[in-house]
Amino acid sequence: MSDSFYRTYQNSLREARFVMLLWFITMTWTICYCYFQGYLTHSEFPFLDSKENLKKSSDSIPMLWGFPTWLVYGVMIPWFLCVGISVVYGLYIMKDDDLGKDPEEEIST
Amino acid sequence: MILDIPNESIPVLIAFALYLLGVIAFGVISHRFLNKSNFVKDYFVGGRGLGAWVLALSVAGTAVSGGTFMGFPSLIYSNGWIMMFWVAGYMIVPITTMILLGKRLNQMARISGAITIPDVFRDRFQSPLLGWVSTLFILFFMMFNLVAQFKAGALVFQEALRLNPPNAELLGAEITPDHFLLLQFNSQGENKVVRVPFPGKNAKYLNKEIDNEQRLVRCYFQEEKQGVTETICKNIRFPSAQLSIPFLNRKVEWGYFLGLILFALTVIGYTTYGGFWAVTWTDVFEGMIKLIGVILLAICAVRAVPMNAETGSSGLSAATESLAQQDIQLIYGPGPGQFLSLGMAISFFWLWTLTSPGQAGAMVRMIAFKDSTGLRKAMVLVSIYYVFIYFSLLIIFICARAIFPTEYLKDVGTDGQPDSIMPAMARKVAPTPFIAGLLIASPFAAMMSSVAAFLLLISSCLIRDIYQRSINPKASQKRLKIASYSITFITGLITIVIALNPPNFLQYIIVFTGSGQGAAFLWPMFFAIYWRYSTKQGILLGMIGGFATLVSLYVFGWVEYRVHHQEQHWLHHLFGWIPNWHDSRRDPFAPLNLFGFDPVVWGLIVSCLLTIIGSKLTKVDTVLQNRYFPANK
Repeated sequence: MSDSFYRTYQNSLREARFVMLLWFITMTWTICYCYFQGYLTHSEFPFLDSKENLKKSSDSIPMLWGFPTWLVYGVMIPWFLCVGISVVYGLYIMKDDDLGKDPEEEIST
Repeated sequence: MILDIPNESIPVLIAFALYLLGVIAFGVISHRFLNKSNFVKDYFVGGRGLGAWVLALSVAGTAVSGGTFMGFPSLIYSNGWIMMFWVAGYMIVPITTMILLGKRLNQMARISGAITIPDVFRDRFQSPLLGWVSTLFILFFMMFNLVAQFKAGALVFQEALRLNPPNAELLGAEITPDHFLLLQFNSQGENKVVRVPFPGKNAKYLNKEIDNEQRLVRCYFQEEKQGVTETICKNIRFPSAQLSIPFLNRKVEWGYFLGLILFALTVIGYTTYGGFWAVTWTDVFEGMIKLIGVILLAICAVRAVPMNAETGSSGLSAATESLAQQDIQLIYGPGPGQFLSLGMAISFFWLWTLTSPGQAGAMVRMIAFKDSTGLRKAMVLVSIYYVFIYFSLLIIFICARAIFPTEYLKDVGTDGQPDSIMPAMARKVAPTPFIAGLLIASPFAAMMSSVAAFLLLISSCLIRDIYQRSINPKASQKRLKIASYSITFITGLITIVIALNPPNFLQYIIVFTGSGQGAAFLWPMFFAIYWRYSTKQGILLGMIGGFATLVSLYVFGWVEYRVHHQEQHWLHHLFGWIPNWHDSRRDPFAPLNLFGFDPVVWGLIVSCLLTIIGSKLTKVDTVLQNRYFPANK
């Protein structure tokens, strides 16, 4: 088994671990922030339905560029961060690995 | 005259025709690139030669389908800003889809020369049974999805064509106890009944007015809202012209029939003739149409929102304020009618992020790319592409709710149903009808790229996994070529016949097939390629376990829907103890959401656990382990 085969396997595994870690972080942040900041009622945790939450009314909607602020911090900024991570990780950190050849190509070479 | 095309539809149809010609041209050109020496590999995975751009737009093209351009807009229009949270998982979908399995899956496929997903499973464990089971699962999910996409494509064309209905005579009107107005027509010598839902529970029917020139009936209702009495007018078109299908013994609307035939023959034609290259190159073309279409529509939509006279705000801010005035639930969670509970928010995050890499269509692209440089760049491109597509769609249909506050709401709407909101917006805000046509062509493009990929997947399963590897392993290249063309074409024709009598519940079918593939394939594939101690028994158990869990929760939902109102039914005594059994479901195809979570969550958990337990309890094949995994260094 060649060194490049071993390297590709190791790099793929490391990258898969990174993906799962990033998945967990984004899910935790987005779900928790949006649920606690952006929900009017919390049927799963009724004690969260404080006066503050029920005060949310049509008179004043906190907005940024037309988007409700709970979505800006809960979804939009994490989304842009993920794009940034994709760019940095994809272009500068992820390794270029030898993926090998198909059996018929090996025979012909 | 049966085909009475309105004048305003002509520019729209010209735009459609230009688009279809472009797609056909790509199909013809791709045919020249098919390699004669290894036809099957070239026809089904493009000779493993996908570069960054084609890979990116091809992955995005398969994922951004009819559901994204028809179902998603109608959900934004109906539920407001909560849909941004609903779709939030897409922030990380490009990373999970392309990095989690991509590089290693491509490496594994090259070791054995695998060109399909069942090939990978079969070769990794030297198990024809695994190949057969995965083939059957792919065929099962793909056929469901293919029919749903064909139907969606035909509906878009029907909306673009908007044939004038033939003249009709209104015979009478009747009110039913469940708040429907039944209009009885005599159209083309036949009696037809049109059911019109009342605009609200407390609404009262006033009178009707027939407009023979516009070929519609104006129905007036009265409803009291917050102490104010409102008069609501619903425009009901005369019954559409219909065509009899003799062998199916049913009738379909002419617009739907023409849309189906045009959509199906174009996509079947270029997929059959050009194979994988035609599918991926048209994905690039269609991907650009979609991107340009939604960005243009978003700009037009923001400009079309009426200014808020009180606050002086305009554009998206004015739209958000308008939504808040209509219903505060359109701004905050869980949305109208408890749309997105916490359990469902978690479920959808899992659904988008974890089932995307497990889709057979996505995995095929992961075994088809040329090198890891292409994969890295494609991931970056897809990430940026998704931002534009999803944010544009959100902006467009939030603005749509401000522009058409009630006109397209389910039942209440005076001009149509929520599914018509995409073409309605294009017609309303586009500067010219020709541009409206190009904008309406973008959902058509989305469906075509998905259908082409699914069609090729089905035919690869039948040709490679069943015919070449099980029935006739010594088949010549010429025979395989004829078989591939024939099977792709015949599969398409069968789907047309089924789509002439299509099932309802489009959105649920698309979610069902997507989550089903994820539940059946993600963890078995993940462990097969990364875990040296995985065994064929464990993988088989995980695959069947994920599939069975998901399907059974859908079956439970379907069964409960049938007997929901029969309180003494024996099924309630037998299954009443299951959590969430008694939940009310909006749709017969809606699943049982155990503990408030979508079946995909349970399918993924069961599949993961069974793969690990099954592998731990059985013996590893050391020869295969050494072939696919490097020794520890």
